[in-house]
Amino acid sequence: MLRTTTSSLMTRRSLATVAKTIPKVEVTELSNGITVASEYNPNAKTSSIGLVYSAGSSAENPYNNGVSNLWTNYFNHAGIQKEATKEGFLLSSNVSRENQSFTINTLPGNSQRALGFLQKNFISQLNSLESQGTTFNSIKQNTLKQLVNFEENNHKGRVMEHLHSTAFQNTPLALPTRGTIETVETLLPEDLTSFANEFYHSKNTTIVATGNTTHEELVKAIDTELSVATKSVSTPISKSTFLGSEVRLRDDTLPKAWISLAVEGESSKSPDYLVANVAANIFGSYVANEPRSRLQGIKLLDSIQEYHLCDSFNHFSLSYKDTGLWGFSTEISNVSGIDDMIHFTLKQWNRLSVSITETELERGKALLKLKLGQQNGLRARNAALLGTELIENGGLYLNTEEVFKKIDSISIKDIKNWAGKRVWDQDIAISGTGQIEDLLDYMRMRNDMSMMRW
Amino acid sequence: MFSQTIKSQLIKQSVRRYTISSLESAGKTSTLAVKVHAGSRYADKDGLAHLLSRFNFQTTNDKSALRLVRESELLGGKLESTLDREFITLRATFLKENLPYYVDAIANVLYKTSFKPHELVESVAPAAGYDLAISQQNPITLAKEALYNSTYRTDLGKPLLFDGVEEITLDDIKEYANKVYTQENIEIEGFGINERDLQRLVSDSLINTLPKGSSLKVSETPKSFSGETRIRSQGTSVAAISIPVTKESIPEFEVLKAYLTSPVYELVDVIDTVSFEKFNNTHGLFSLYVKGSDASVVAKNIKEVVSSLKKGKDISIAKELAKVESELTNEKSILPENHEALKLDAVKNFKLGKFSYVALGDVSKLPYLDEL
Amino acid sequence: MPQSFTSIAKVGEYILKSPALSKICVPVAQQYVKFAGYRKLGLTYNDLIAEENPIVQTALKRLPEDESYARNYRIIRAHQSELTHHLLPKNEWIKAQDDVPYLLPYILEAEAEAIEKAELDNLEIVKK
Repeated sequence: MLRTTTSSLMTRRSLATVAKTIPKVEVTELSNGITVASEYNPNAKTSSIGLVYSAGSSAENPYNNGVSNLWTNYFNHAGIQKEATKEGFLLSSNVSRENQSFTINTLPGNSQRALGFLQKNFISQLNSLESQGTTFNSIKQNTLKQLVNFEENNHKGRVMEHLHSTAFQNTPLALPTRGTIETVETLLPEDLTSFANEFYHSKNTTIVATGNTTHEELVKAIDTELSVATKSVSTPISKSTFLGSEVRLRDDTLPKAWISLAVEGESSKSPDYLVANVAANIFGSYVANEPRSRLQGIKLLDSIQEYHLCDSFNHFSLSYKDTGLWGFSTEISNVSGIDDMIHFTLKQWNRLSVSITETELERGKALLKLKLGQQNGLRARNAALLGTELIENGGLYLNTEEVFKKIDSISIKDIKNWAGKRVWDQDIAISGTGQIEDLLDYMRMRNDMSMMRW
Repeated sequence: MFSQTIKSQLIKQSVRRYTISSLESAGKTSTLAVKVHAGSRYADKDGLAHLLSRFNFQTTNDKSALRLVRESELLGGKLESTLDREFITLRATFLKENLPYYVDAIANVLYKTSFKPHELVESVAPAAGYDLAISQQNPITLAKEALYNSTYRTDLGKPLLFDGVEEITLDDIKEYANKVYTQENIEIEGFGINERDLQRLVSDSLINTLPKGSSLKVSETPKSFSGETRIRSQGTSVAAISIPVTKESIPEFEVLKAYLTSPVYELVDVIDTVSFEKFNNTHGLFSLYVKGSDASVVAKNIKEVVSSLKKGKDISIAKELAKVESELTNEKSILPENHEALKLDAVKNFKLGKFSYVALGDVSKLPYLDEL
Repeated sequence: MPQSFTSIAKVGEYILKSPALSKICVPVAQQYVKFAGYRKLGLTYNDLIAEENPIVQTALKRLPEDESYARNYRIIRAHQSELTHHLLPKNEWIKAQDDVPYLLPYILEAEAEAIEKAELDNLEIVKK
């Protein structure tokens, strides 16, 4: 990679090479460890500027689980929002397993003010939470309200959280991103401060800007406005590992069954990242009530539709630093057909290693390309997406052109090899809630992961 | 490694009668949207627009619905038809190189849908029923529907979705399609598409041979009323008000929306949703919703909000925020009419005058319009 | 491979188009109808098509309501006649001009759809 020094203050690692006119994604590493990334679009009418930390819920522990969620709620509390309205800033924040983001949407030319705002209302407040008792309590109450709402209404999300908890049990990825009601209730301002001191330092910081902000403007503004704590050694996050297991939250008062099932997937930087994603898109997603969804060329649909085995399903390939999850989530109202639904789906998964066709592969590739292409288009409005791409995937998938070429080169053999390693006769993690009486026991499902003959 | 040139320009041009606007970009995907002024406000029978929208991308004379889906997924594309009060929008999102295929696909839908009787029964009607069931589960959507109805009675006041109250036959749908799918009544929007390519392809396609008709687009503000609706139902209670907006006061309500959703307004926690829907950038409906499981709390809250707004508020503090929000929404549509800059300078005070009112849920505990 | 309705309909059309062939086949067909005797039980030819398969089931579902009622009536009446070992009174026999293929178009459409689906399910990608 090309290294040029532009000023004594900072070392620049420029990644833009091809066209000199308008660089699209530029990444600079400052001498104090902060990564600066931007994607400039001179035609955008707005800019999105923000702060992404490469630490999320997996940096927490069972005793302070939920602190990241509280910090993202802190960013949205009334005091800061009031200031933001006066400035014309639209705030948003998000926490995921391996990063959290704090972003501002604003009109172009405000990067200096926006960063100043972040510094004044967020970064410089990281240590003064203990003196803001009432603010802290109101944030905590808000967070608890959101958690109750999540637990009561978002069954699909709840099942996914539990899938992580069981698949990665006793390792960092098992912790719920939002925390739980029990842990959040016990949190004190000191917990948030010490988490911030441990993880919100320059080496974990990426400053991002997309839309109408140039890289120079951003770097200059950082120089004058921002001061992020430095720390010589980052706190290490221990490795997460997958364990085949199941968790059942049976609740017959709910109207349906929600189930997720997965094998261990690829880590973010794995060479098979795209193969796993193509494989997930071969089976894709389905919504029984959408006529066009019923017509898709997914072989599984023939078995499902005749007996209405499910209302919807969605295959995913999730990747994290050390490991991942590859599987599917489904919502079933025909609760006496759960065993059939799981059986037919897993039998289709078997075909990945045995008899997947060229047409199915092409279909999966085309849909993945469409998804990636669309995602890349969303970044202009949400700089956090650029930050998460860089942190999680090291920017490997930012250049759509190259990614498309890589996807095109995936062959049936690649899929079969990958599936032979990851899917065929592998342990599974299962999570379900609602009326899951018909969800067979672990071994019955595990046995469907291979065939005696074909 | 990451660099890509971005060449992007906004081009507006009228070819024949339909309008084509396209914005080019360096991305690898494109979106083509054909917007037809055929939304629920233009439907002669209640729910007609909904059924027509659901009939889009069904079997045409050239191609069955199944073949369209199968071909399209192999090319990496997604098709959808959406409905609002103004438009039926046929939208295709696809990999850039397949533009000709999707121009053709949409043209085929507009020109040659077969309207097979069994598709109405087997696919269109159940899907429409599902849309209705989903919308009826949401008390805010129900309240909004009622607010439109009490504010406008007809036109924008017509129900958005097909509910079976008025009987609709296949012939009604065909007739409506003939009336609205005309050259004068459609607008074509492209994102990530070269405008010359789009123009050429459209003029070679069946869109160019669509029958001549007249534009149905309504630009003048429709007649509005100040009404009250009360709907008894189980579950959540909602109290909501709406104000019809004319072209001159659009900026004021953009700012009001930003103001009421920010903590600078002291009652922000009480308000559940604030919505401002504009039509053809010449008029719109502003609405505000208070929601809760305890109707007496909802009653108290709506009274507080209304009396605070009646006193008058200096909302100019939210001007900047309104600008950002409106730019972000404008990016989603590139129709020429959405590109007039928002003139916010004159906005200062807002004082609530006449409005329509909806009470939904445990209505015995909710106030009447004249008590607000 | 069992004959599809589509292929049978095609053969029929071909025969009717050729004057020589229809000269031979049409009288034979008329004799067949006469000896089969279904019209004397008040049935039309399309009532005899075996319905225990997905294609005819789809076609029956799509039949307009009045035709569906008429079909059911004819079939029940024929059952009753069989049961009592009677033919219908002569004036209730189905006349040749009333023996119309009311179901066939629906069957052909359903079959075309099924054939298209099978074809698309087994599509092979040709790389250029």
